[in-house]
Amino acid sequence: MNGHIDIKTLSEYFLNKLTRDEETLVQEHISSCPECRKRLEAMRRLSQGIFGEDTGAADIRPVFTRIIRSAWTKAAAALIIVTGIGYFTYETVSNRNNIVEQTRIQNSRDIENEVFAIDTFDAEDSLYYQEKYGDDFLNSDSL
Amino acid sequence: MASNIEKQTLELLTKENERYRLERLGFFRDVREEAIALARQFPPKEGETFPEWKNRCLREFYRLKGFGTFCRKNILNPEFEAIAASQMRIHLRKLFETSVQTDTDKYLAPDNDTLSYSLEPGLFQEIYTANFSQMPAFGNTQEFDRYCRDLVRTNFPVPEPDIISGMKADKGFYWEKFYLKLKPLTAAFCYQMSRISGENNIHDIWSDTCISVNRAVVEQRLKEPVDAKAIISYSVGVLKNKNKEIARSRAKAPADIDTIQYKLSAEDEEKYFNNPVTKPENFPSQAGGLANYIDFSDTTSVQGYFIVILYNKEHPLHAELVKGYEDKVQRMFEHYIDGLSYEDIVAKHFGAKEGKEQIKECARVRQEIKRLKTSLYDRYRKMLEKYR
Repeated sequence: MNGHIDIKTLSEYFLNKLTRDEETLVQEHISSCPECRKRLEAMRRLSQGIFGEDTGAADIRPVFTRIIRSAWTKAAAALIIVTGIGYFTYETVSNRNNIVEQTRIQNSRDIENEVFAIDTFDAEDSLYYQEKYGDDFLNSDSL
Repeated sequence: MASNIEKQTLELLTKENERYRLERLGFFRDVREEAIALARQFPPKEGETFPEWKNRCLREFYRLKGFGTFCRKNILNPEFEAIAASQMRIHLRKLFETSVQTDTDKYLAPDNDTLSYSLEPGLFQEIYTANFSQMPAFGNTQEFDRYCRDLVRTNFPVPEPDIISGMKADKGFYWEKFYLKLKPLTAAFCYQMSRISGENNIHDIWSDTCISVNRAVVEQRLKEPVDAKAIISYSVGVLKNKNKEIARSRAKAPADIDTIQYKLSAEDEEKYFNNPVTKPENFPSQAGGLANYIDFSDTTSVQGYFIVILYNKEHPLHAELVKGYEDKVQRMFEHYIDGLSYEDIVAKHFGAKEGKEQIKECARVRQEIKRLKTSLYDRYRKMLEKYR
């Protein structure tokens, strides 16, 4: 190979597009040509710099994905979950107290109604039953 | 400082590693260590040519490392499959370039592209399952490479009925290439028949034609036996009808549309059929669409091509990639290629600074390079979509 390797062939060598024989020719040339070796190294260094650390891939992720995956987002999510659980527990406990209290009030009202019903039956309805069932009502009552 | 022999073995193993991803597959841990050991064990003999030494050196290296066992262990590894696919693609390209154009390609493939010599993913799986399940014992990568080459020679070109069956089964791999074939045809017919030109103006007609042809083939509405010529004839019919409709809707008294000459002039041919970006000059890797050269399913391939475009100022896509970022790209090259530190870059471009001022400026340059990588890669991805 005379002179230098053209950039097209060098690029194809870099991209692994050459056959094995073509590849050997390039390797033989660059073993004795610092200029071509330098150009090849430049492409490799550039590749290493841009994609080298696997974080290179992270750099090219969309902004939204980076926000979603950041440590701050995870910490914020954890805080929200913990706060949520705490609030839910507090609400449940206080609601339970309220329900017990309400049940207690309801029960006492029912008792009051029962008592009221018994009282009013005796006082107001006895005449109605007497009229309807006659004296037997009184008799049976007296019995 | 490494000796010349060490440099040479390092280059041999670096290339083997790039080509077969040996480090990533766990074949060895550090390419430099292996290269130094190899240079000590197998220096060139007197009178031995470079190819002879390379073959001997690598053969011994793979024998000592147990390449055959390594291949058998990795047969189900998708990464290993990808290597076999990439090797087959290299041989396919060579075979395509040295073969007579098939009828299928003449009628269905875009210029400088091929369907007959393309590795459709389903077809690759068939070949891989049939031929690698009982893998022969490869002594080294050269034997592996030769095996891939023989597979390509026996399985390609893909027979026309198989490609038509693939299209009937709505395989996107074949259809995407055919749609690209239809694009310049649409441009030519629209210009000749309706005087419509320009990418935006023909886009609707092109996409409607693609859908019509796809439905006709997939729903098997074309008269059997369907071959490549039948598909392109139907496509031309659809294009003519669409242009006739346009012409009729424009004219109060319909003109005799059939008298229009469909033959293209040399000027039109140049204008509509030879896309300057994909013209096969300077770069054979520019022939046809980028899809011909970049394996979009392989990140390494996509990233490699990005580096080639970015580094080579003569590349037809370089100017488009770096437009507006020229100075920043220069500073990025100085950092990554020449190895200049951020302090050196600041001193070179923004003058000598000291203390907090220098720290602030270095941080700015570092951020600039970091952001530039993202911006360039985003632009590159858009360009891939555009020229795919």
